[in-house]
Amino acid sequence: MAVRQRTSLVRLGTLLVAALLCVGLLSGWAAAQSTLERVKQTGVLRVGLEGTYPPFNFVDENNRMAGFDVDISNEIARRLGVRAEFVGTLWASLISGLQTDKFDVIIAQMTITEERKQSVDFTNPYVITGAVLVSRANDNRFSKLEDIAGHRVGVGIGTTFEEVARSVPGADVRTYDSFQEYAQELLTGRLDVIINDQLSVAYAIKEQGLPLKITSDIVNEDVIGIAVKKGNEDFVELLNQILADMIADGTYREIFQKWFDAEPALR
Amino acid sequence: MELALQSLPALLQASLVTVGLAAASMAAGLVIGLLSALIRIARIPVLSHLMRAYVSIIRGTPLLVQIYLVYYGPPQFGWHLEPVPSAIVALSLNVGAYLSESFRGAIESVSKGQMEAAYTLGMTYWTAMRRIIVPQSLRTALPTVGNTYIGLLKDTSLVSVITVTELLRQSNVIIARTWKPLTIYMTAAVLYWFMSTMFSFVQERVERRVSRHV
Repeated sequence: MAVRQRTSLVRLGTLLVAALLCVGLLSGWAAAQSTLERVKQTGVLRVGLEGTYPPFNFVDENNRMAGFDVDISNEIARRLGVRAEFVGTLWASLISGLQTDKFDVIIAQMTITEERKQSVDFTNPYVITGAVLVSRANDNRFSKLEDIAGHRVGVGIGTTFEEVARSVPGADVRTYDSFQEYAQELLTGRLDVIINDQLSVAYAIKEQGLPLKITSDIVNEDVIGIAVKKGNEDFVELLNQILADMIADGTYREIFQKWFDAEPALR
Repeated sequence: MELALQSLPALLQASLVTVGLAAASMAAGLVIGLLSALIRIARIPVLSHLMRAYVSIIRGTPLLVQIYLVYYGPPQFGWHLEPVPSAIVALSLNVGAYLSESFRGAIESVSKGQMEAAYTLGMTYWTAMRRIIVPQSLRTALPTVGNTYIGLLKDTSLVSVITVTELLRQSNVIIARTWKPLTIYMTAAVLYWFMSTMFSFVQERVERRVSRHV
C-alpha cells in the first residue's frame, strides 16, 4: 500500500513538472506583425481605454464612447485615413491587452513612466496634467502629500497615483479598479483621502455636484502619452508627427477646450 | 427610480448578451460534458485519461483565471479570438467539466441490470448506451444540469473583465457616468434574478414532462 501511494505521488509529481514545462515553453513564443501594417490593412485603429473615466473616456447616454481621449483618437484616426474603434478594458489589463494585440494603441491617460517603458513604447506627451489630493468638502486635514500618512488613501490599482501614495511611509493605501469606486468610498467615509487627476476630479465635482474638494497643489506631474506595442518605432514616429501637427494647427487646443475650462499645457 | 428606468434599455440589451453567452456556452458545454462522461465510463484508453485531466484542471482552477488564460493566452502564438468567442470558449470548457461529472454520476446510477439485459438482447455496448442507458440517465441528470445552468448564467458576469459588454460591464459603464451604484447594481441584480427565475420555471416544466410515465 505504501509503495503504491509513493508511485502515485511520483506520478503526480511528474505530471506537475510536465505541466510547468508546458507553461514555460508556451510563454516563450511570440508572433510578430507591425502595428502600422495592421492598422493600414484593416482600416481600423483599435484604441484601448477604460470607458469608465469621464471626461477622458466614458460611454455617453446614447451608449457611444465619448470624451477627450475619444476625440483625440478619432482625430488621429482621421489623419491616418482610418476609423477608430474603442475597446473598453479594465485599467490593470490595458498593457497586457496591448501586448497581445487586443488593440493597437492605448489612449487612456496613461502617464509615461520608466517602469511602463519596460513593457511598451510611448509617443511624445499628448496631455500634461497632475495628481491632487481630494477629501470630503468639510475636511481640512490634507494640504500636502505627507499629510496622508496614517490615513486611508484610495487610488486606482497600477496607476501613478498608487505610486505616489505608496511613496509616503505610513499611508494606508487601498486600491480599486476605477475612479468612481474610490470616490464613492471617500463619500461614504471608508476612505479619508484619495489621489486622482486634477482635470478628472474637477469635472466630477462639477458635473455630479459631489461634496468633495481638491485640497492640495499638484503632488505629482503626469506627462501622458500614447502607448504602442514595443518594436513599432515607425508607428510611434508617425503618431508624434500627427500630434505635433494637431498642436500646431490648433485642433488640439480646440479638443482640449471642448472638455476643460483651461489653456492646455501643450502648445 | 427614474434613473433605473432610463438605464433599463441599455441594461436589457446587455441582458440579451448575458443570456446569449449562457445559452451558447451551455449548448457547447452539454456536448463536451456528455462526450467526456461517456469516454470516461467506457474507459477508452488515452482519451479517458485526457478527459480526467481536463475535468481535474477545470475544477481545480478559478473560472476567472481560465477566462484570462483563454483571452490573453492564444494571441501569444498569433492566434486571435475576439472577446465574445473567447468568453464562450472559456465558459463552455468550464461548464463542460462540471456537466461531465453530473452525467457520469447519472449514467452510473442506472442499474447494471439494464446494461446486462441490453446485452442479452444482442445490443452492442454503444447501442445500449445510446438507446437504454443515456436516455434514462438524462432524467436523473436534469436537476443538476439546471443548477449548473443557473450558476453559469451568473458566472457570465466574470467575462466583463475581458471587455465583453454584458450586464455587469454595462452597469459599470453607466455608473461611471451617473455615479449611482446602488440604483444600477440593484437593477442589474433584479434582471439577473428575473432571468434565473424564468429559467427555473422552464426547468420545472421540463422535469414534470420527462417524469410523466415514471
